[in-house]
Amino acid sequence: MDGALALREQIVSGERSVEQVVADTFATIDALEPRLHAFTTLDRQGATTRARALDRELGTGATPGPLFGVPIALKANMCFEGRESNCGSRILAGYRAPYNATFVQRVLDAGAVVVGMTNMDEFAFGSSGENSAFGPTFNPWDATRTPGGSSAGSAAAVAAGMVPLALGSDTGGSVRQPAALCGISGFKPSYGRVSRFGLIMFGSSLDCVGAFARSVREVEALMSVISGADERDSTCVPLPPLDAEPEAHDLRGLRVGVPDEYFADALESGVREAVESALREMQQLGAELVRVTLPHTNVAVPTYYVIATAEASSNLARYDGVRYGARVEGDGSLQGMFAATRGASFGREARRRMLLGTFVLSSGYYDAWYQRALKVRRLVARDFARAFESVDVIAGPTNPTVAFSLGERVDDPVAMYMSDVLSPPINLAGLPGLSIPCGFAEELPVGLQLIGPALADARVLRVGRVYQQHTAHHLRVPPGARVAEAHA
Amino acid sequence: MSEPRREDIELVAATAALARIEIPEAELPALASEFSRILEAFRVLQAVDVAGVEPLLHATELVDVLRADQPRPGLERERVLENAPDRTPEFFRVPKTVGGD
Repeated sequence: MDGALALREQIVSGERSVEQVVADTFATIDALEPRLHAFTTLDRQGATTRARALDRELGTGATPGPLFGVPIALKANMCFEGRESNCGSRILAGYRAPYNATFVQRVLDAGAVVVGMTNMDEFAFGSSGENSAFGPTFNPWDATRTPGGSSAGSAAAVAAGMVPLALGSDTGGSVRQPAALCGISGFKPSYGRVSRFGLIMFGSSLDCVGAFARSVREVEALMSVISGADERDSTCVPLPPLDAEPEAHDLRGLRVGVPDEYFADALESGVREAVESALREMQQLGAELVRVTLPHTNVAVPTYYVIATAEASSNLARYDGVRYGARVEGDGSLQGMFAATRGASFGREARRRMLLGTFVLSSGYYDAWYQRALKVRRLVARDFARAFESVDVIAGPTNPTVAFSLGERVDDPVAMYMSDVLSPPINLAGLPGLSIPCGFAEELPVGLQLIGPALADARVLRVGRVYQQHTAHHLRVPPGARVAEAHA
Repeated sequence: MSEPRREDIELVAATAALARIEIPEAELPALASEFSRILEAFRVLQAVDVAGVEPLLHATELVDVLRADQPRPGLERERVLENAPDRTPEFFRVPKTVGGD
């Protein structure tokens, strides 16, 4: 057993108390945080109080939940009652959630202990963590590099061994890409598989709550807890929580699609080698590789940014200084307050996206940009549907490069946007996507992305799990990580 | 970065007004140049053949998702107001709207 699951067993058997585990967790966090900055807030008091309550509960003989006593971190765009959900933004600094997100309540009901909220690009706008208003997060493998984003802190915290589990959100790759760059497992479920109630919105048709852990087994356990219908989110697919597929020994009978477009020139050679090696490993396990084509891969990037920024501009209109968050008086008028508050409090990338989104929705441009993008979105979804007629999963690199240096891309938005064709199409089509470590290039982790048809979440996870039964890439830890000590 | 055209600067200024985001005048030219570069990179969208293709608003295309019409308590007033930058006991307080804006 691994990480979170082993930890639960140790707690339930009485070998360790939850209070001890939580104390050890904060000791690890205190040792590593100065170097990594994975968290925006820590909830030492709340976590300790809860740990003691859980220890008492164990004593009464009540059946412990599937994540009993397991420490978990939440991305700062998630509502955890009474705690600060600042979304990495000055405009929500100090904002305390008045309720629990559905997925947070489920994690609590399963017995987990939330230790804090993790750092992120402001409102999830970014792929590096550098757009956080509170300073960047650093990659545990190389502190001169970003951990990816926007779920930067959640990925770094798990990779460094601060916590065994973390939740993130994936709108255009924000769980899968940092998982790849940090050498851990990260899963984006099918759209609608997990309730978004309590996830502070970026793109309502794209956002998915996702899971980080060091192994797919732990990801499966976390997904089983948080997924399933919720009447408070009408975009939720009416299905019960995810059930992991039964144990399997190999990949015989599995048809794996390999898209031509995912192995184009922009792919770093080290990444290409690691992923091709992973594909050969899958073949050795009995999988059949099938060439497929996803012709709208490249145009999916602008399609994504048009739709995502349009939705974001609408969702973020609520940050106006009235009900929560920052307020700047401006010229004393109501409209002046709105404009001054938003102008002073949004960061550069957030402002950029608000403007883009407002533009593509505005009169005279709506048809040529937003409506057109929605049509291309259907073509992107059709590409996948067509490919899945002949394969069971699609495989390729999660990201074209390994972790990049801090400062390398943040000043060039076009380069940042266009650098990643591999993540956003999956969000446009609402498909499940898993990133798992498959090797290293320049001593930095490389991620393999597995994509499934809509609602084939359990299948994608099972394939990843079987791959990890036969490989050891996911067991490698960054220098200085405290994996064995805190969570053997 | 090339000098932005007058109409690009006006476009960004007009968009910012729509988005209710105050932008200092001095920042407009750089923002306009950046805006143009982004839209230029996105222009490939215009070349895609979308004849006869319906827009896809969201992947699941669920419709008419309703729940039973049973009243239930919402969030208590105090919780709703607790993050307010300015409030009275019962309301959010904002600058006057009547007779100006």
